[in-house]
Amino acid sequence: MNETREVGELLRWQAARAARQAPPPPRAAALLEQIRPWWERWPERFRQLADSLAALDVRYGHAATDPRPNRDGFLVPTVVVRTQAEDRTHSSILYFAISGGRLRLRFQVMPAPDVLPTKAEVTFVDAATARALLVAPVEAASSGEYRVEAELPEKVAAAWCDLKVTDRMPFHLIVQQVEA
Amino acid sequence: MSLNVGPQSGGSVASTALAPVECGASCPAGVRALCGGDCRDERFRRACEWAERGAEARRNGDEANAEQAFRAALAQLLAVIEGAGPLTESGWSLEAVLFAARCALDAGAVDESRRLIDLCDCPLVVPVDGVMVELRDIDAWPDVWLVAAVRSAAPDERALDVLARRHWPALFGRCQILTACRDQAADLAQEAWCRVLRRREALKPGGNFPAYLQRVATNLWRDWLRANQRAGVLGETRLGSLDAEVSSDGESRTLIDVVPDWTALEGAAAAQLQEEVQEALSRLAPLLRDVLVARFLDGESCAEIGRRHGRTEQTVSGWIRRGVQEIQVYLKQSPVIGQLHSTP
Repeated sequence: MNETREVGELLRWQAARAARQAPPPPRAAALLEQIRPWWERWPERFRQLADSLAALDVRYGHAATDPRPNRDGFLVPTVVVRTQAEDRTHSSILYFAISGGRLRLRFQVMPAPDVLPTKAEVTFVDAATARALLVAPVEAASSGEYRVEAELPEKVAAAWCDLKVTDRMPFHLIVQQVEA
Repeated sequence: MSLNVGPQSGGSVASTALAPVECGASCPAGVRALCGGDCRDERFRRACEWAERGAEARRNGDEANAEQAFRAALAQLLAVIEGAGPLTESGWSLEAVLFAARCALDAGAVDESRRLIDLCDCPLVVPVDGVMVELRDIDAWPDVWLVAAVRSAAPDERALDVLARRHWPALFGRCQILTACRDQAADLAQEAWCRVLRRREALKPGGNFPAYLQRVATNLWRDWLRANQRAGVLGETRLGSLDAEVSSDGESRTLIDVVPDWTALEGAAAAQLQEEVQEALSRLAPLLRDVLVARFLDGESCAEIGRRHGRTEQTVSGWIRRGVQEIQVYLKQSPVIGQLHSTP
């Protein structure tokens, strides 16, 4: 019996024993409730935040004196939601790439609120329709910078695949603090 | 529409008589046996052709077309059933109901299949991949029907319950090896299910569902490892320290010298060994556990693992030796294992 087979067999034996001692599986109803996106569970709350984003977009549009994009691209309306406060602001897109249906994004909240959540998730809201597209966890880097890696729904990936950092982004952002 | 099942002689169907059409090869065997090669209904034959197309699309991984084809077959069969007279156990109209219920299940139209099943009060047994399946027994449904039922916009809860019950233990077992912690394993397994359900439109009923589920759990675990490495929780030093050379002091590297024959152990002895192996795994760096699972449970080559981690094949081979060595050292020093050896 060579070493490779032995370790594999021991691990399989271990996994099989663990399987026999598994706790009960989750119920379908519980799983389906768990996957309901927050904007379906709390539609009024989502509506309020989406309206705030739309208002930010209008104000930004009116305030822009130079319609041409600067080298940093267009700012993306952003609402940052913490337990006790909400901040209406914007984000600068620092990096945007889609590969194999997977989005890698870095953005910086500007101006950053005094306190930015370190454990958070970001919801992408379609700028044209105000519908939520997807939600993904973010990693907080430094000074208001966040990093996201997320699998995109097929249609979204197809629509966004040619976007560049300097383009006007077709989405707004809701950054929400997540309970630890 | 209600169809009464009752014994009737002859088994002929009181439907509009159509000129017989020669059966194509795609007619279900049961139907061919009944009609003797004279297909009574052109719609039935079209249903067979659609069902064949659906099966082929599913084999090719084209779920969109597969579902469309099965629904087209179902539509043809519903037209046949609605035009038929009373069902008989030997009548071909009952075969139409069975065929329609199967197409409905293949299309993920579970409510429709239940409606059809409820039309009959006789056993409804169909062959699926060589196994006879009673359509009323959802626990006996093959994965292909359960996954088809779950991938729709409104997943069928009963089908999801059966699917979860069926594949949860093996998934949990894999997660326990990865996390070396029972509570974390349960969380990881549950999160894997949530991820699968959030992207359920991508599910392929004809695919290997349990393998897919385990892959999702493993990828989630790897995402967690990467995020924690970046955050410095595990620390880049851990990855760096794995690259240090593994000593090869000539000592035997086989577990058989250290661990009693685990396949022969039962009861308390097996439980003790399981605890010690669990402890040995928990002492490994998480990345080493991941690499051992990839190599020995998933059968990935060192080169494939190396590509994922940006390391050479030799480096990964060294990691594996280190992992095995660490398990061996712990188990060799364990008084519990020593006792197992000395117990006759």
